Amino acid sequence: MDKLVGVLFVALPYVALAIFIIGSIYRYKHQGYKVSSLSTQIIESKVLYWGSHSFHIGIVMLFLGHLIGFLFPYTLIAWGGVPARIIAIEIGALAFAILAIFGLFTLLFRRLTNPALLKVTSIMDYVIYSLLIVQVVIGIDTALLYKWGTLWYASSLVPYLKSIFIFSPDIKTIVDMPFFVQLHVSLAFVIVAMIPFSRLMHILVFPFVFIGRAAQIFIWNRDPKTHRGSRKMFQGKVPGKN
Amino acid sequence: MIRLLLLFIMASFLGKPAFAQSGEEIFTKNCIACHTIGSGDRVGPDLKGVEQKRSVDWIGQFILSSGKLIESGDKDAIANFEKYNKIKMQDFKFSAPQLSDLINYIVLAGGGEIPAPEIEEIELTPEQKAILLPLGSRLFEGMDKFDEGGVSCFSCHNVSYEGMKQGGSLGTDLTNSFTKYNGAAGLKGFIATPSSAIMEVEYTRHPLTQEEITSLVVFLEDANGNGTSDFESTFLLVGGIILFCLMIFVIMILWSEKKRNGINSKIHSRQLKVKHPNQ
Repeated sequence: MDKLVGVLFVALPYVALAIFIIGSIYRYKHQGYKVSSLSTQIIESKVLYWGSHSFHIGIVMLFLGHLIGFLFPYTLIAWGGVPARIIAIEIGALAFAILAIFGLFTLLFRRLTNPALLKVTSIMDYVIYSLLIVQVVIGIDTALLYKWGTLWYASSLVPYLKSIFIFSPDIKTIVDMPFFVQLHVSLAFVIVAMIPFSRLMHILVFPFVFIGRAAQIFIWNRDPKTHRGSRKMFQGKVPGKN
Repeated sequence: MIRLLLLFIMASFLGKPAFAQSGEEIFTKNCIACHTIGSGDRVGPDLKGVEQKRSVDWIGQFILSSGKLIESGDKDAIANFEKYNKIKMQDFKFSAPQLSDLINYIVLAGGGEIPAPEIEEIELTPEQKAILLPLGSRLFEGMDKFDEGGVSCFSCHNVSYEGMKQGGSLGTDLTNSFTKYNGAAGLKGFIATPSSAIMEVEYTRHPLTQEEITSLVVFLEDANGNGTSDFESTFLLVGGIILFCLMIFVIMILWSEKKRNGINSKIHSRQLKVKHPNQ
């Protein structure tokens, strides 16, 4: 039991962080052009519109929530430690979690039902979709079963997470936590370890530069319709048969 | 453990008072909240004559980690756990000499060779309780902050009390904790030296003042006997779903101008027609 605890809450985080850092640097240096989420917007964008927006808004807000709690735990406790506020925070967080789950299922459905998309979907994509779905569901479950997660996360889980980052692991609190919470933490480290090997890698190359950059206006210097050579093909003729 | 035994034997040869003094300090700081020596059971058992019931080796192991002893299937440890409301004693990181001093002190005080520790009982007048009650309830709920900034009890615990919102469900429901912990003294002791690591870590870094603990005990005494309410979190889920629908609506509005069809969707469907002309 002690060994399992040590592996899950001490070894796993360090192995995951090491894989994440070394793997990301390696991939960026050696396969720089492959650092991408491999966009499929060009193939299908109607369902993507709902899936991608929902998932990204949901997951980014959840991540930021966890990050704020990690960086400023006692500011969060001081401000949010009042019944009305904590209920508002929890309902907001739950809504973002449902939004992320809705987005994930929409994206998965989109991949599975479009034959063109199936061709560009790797096994790793399915692994990532499944991990994220399980992770968010466990998060929702934890929030509903063990209230008030925002507050006890800041007071009792953050000390464990901080102890990992300052290289002085203290697993006292995590060992005392319910199973779902332990699973949520361990799975988070597994996901971190998978970043360099999956499309999640695009998190590291978010184009912040686009936000401040001047707009680039793209102008066709010709009428594309007159240049389209596929007018015949549009009629459904197989080349070489007629 | 043989070393522990040797130390214990050595302790009995080397001037008792010095060891007893150090043991008394450890006892007063760590044990008195839940145990007495000769004044009856509290949260945990009265320790008078404990050395006649259990071996010194066993007592030492129990103090260092009662949890491990229970997990190992030790019948006496399990019986203790069952008898005292299934409240696990917290682990103590005592060195071998400290442990020996402590056990020595318990044995001597129990045998009447040195005075037993005085048990401080909370005796508050109704007027004092009336003043502390609202303070305790506000501290519990987080409406007033603890002096050292510790997280409120409400974060993990629920108490059924008129006008109070439902509290957390990570920890146990504390509505009837006054009875569970054998009254004010036991409850005060439990708050001061909690058995869960989660509480221990939080309130070691942000200790509660005596006044805060007393106020909380008065509040919990007042709440004692209220029927515990059922666990409820449907309202959170319903709130979350309503807000989710609102977000979907916002996404629809915010990016309504965005082109929904991919630039190549037409080209793609055209190519499919060419490839499968009969479909």
